[in-house]
Amino acid sequence: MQLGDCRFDRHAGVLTNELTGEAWHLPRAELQVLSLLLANSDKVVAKRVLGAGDDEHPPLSDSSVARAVFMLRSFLGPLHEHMIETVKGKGYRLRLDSGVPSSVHPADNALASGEPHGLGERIEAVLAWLFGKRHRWIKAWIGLIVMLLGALVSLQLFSSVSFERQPTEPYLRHSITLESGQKVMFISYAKSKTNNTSLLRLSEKMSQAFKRCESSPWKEVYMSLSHDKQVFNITMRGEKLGQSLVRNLKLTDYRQQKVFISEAWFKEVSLCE
Amino acid sequence: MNRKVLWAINIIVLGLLAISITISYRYLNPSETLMLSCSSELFDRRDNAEAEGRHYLLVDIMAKKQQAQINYRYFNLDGTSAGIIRMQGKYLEFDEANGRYNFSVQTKEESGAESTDAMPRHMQYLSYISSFNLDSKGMHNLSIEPLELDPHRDYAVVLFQPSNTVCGCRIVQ
Repeated sequence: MQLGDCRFDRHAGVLTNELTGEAWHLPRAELQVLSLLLANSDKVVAKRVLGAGDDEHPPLSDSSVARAVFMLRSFLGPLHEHMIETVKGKGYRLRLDSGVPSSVHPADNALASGEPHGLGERIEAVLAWLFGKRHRWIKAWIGLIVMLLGALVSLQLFSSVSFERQPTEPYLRHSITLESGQKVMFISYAKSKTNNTSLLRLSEKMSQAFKRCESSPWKEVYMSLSHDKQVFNITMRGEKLGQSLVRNLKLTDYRQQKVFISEAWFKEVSLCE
Repeated sequence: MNRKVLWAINIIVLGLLAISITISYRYLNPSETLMLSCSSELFDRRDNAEAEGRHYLLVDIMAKKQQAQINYRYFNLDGTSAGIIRMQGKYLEFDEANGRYNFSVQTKEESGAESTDAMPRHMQYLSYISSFNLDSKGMHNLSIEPLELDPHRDYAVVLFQPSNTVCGCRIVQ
């Protein structure tokens, strides 16, 4: 006997879930209740009848019958548990035609029984469970949790995604060509776009000094004035005899009329070498 | 099928939780590690050319997990120490959008120089700025942005902010 996804062997007293293969040897109460409900399918059977005793067994209490119904519904699962209906004040009714079609059935009787055998029907069965009236609160909570987690993950992914990098743009970039034909690039960084006269003047002085070199190991000269214009930073990048070179020069000038670099200083630091 | 649906929901919820925790962990624990060593020649410009100071400076920057340490070691030209500033704090994050390593210095130690006047000018300057920030805000925030990076040759030209300082450094790690 097929009950949703379960097959009931009345003689052995075993209910088997055909999806999971789980078999349940029904205890006396569950076996009696299910047998009576099946014998009176689509009819209301009173609790008193379901719990009736015989020569060998004492009668079952109403709570034992209710518990047996609960256990049977649990085993049938959320898709098919409503096959056993509670008729208030009267008893229970087993509706063999009210369950969501079984998921797994032999192919030969699947068509005849109208039970799902294709992907579309399986999806319909899932949708019927998802949007059915049963366990609305549980489903609502699960939906809410999934939505919140989804929103959280999306937010975090959005915030951690690698946007196109936006590096700080130099304030000024210009190059000169030395007598040897070598190009030297001057790149200046400023804290703001206002009051950069000092930086422009220093950049010009540096390029004038380099112009006097026939050649130089330095190819790029980075310059910046500190935010309070007290420190002038120079970083030179280049190559000599195949070796990568970096040189940092930091000039601090606290005077009101800042000079930072002078002819004497250029000679001292030997920019051409 | 009902069990499959329940399992699918369980797996989706667990998967979302796992992704969420992973991203949160990554966000809270920056995985980028930074170790730089920068050497600079210092020139203190004064009216009297003979009194002008010459020093050199070694800066070691280490950022790993959430810890950050920046040491400034000042030397006289003869190799004797002219002063040390040790800064310790938090490595806040690697800002991928701007390619910046953000730090928050919380403690600072200065040693080596007998008085402020005996310090190299650059050390005076750094000491003043960091003390000003630590005293007024309780932290000295700074960021390092690589402007030019060549891992094959182990060097990087970086820009320190908010001081707006360019510096060429050797990549230690």
